[in-house]
Amino acid sequence: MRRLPGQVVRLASLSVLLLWVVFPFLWAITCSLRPIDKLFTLTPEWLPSPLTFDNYLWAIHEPNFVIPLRNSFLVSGLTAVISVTLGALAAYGLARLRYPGKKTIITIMLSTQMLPTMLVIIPIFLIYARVGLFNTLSGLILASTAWTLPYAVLLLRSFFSGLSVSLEEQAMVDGCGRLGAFMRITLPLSIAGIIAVTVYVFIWTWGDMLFPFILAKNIDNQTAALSLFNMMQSTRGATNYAGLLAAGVLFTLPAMILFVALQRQLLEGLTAGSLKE
Amino acid sequence: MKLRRETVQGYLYFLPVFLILGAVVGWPLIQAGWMSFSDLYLLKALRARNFVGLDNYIHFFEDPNASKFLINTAIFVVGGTAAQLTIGLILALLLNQRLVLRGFWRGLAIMPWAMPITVTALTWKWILDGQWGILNYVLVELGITDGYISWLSSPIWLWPSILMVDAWAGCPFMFVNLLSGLQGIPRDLYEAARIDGAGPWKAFWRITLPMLRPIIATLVLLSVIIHLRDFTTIWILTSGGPGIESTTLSPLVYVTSFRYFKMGYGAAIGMLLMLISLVFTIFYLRRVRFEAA
Repeated sequence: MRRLPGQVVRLASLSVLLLWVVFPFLWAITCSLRPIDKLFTLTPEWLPSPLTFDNYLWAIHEPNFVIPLRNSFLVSGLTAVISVTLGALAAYGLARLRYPGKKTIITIMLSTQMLPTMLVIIPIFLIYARVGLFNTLSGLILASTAWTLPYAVLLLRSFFSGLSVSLEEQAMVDGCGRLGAFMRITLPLSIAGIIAVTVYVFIWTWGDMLFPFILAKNIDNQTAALSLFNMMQSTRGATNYAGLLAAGVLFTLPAMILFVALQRQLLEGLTAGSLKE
Repeated sequence: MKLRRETVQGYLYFLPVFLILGAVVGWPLIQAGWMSFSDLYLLKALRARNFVGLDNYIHFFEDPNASKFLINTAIFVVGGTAAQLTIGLILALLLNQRLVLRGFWRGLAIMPWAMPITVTALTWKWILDGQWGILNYVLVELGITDGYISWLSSPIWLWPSILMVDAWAGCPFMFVNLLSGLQGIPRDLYEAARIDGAGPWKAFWRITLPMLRPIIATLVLLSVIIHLRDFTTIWILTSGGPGIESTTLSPLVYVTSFRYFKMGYGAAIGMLLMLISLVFTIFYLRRVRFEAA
């Protein structure tokens, strides 16, 4: 009898919290499915009626969304591939080779993750303007790669360290070079970890608004995270909020799919002392 | 001889990372430090910069608004960290007990993680809208409030609203880490406590919290650093406004450098921000190394 009220309180608070967590998703989706005049109404309805896909049609025909969306795929995809490739190489060295200065390297990796981006981006902007990387997709990819590399290096290092050395040594005895042994033995074994880091870097770059905000000027070189924000700020965007919400839902979808598909690996990797932003 | 070859190899493998980080982080950082002692003003000329010593730093502390910016930063850092941690902890405790469909509820709890921050802002601004927002509608219908509130521009509700959205976006990270911390606490500790007659409340204060302390300390440091440098959350919700009411240091650096083009001054404020953040980073590094050892 004494346990019952406690249980009720716990279930009630859990329901309230989960409702708070889920409601924005539900509200964004249902609002994106109603005609715009049903959005700006003093007596909002909980469910869309009539149901309409017009807002999604608007979104996929809106150049200010579609072009940056393509850029988002390009920038996030390439950043993920480059960051993980170079990161894996460095991580392998850190996990397997003995050389002086490793502790310093790890400390530097950990501290660069902590730097205030807004400070470093001022000179990056000036340098980019001078060397012609300002307002280019390559510039965005380079900056995002630099920002995600420390994370990739640290996490991949811990994956590689967790794998046994003996198989690799066996392969090296059998005539493989060090890199060959790495490619043939360690890489296939850590594929789950590598995919998790790739997806993490992809999702980070996908959502990042700061680099494009400072380093990309034209719509042709912006990513969707930024163009959605710009449309939100403009008066024209304000009048078609339903369309914007539809675009927002579409933009969330790829990240959400990756996240759900790889939830387990991501969570294991992320709880290993990494950071999210 | 073998050792030397390994050394060369090790550095070679690290070289690409070193070059990229050097070009995009290291070199700009040195430039930023140097800029902070100069009067670089983009509207004048890129090359015409003079060494002005500590002028920029002094200028910041002479700004009558300086205390406002620092207080705002403190509110955001302390409030955001506390809100994310508290909600994350409550979620972790609730979802660590036996429950039907527990995996599904846990999955729901981390959903905000997958929403890009721009969409988070887009959605919450719509919910919090002063005129058409559903929150106002519900609160008035329920008789909790009399009239519609402009959550993101009202002086009273501005910070609670920002912190609420910040907590929404950040609690999954806390939740996930705290949950894995909770799972690491040996069950027999609770058994022993129960035999000794300790209720759930006492068990929480005597076992759960002390056992979670190392993880909480790391998470708090991490969260403080992230909130210190955060620009996007504040900017897309309020652009630091109304006026300067929600301007923390990062948005201030942006406005100074890229709206007023006073890049030397902006860099100086950014350096101050980095110095504050450095204190916490040192503690963080100590903890992480301690845990790795």
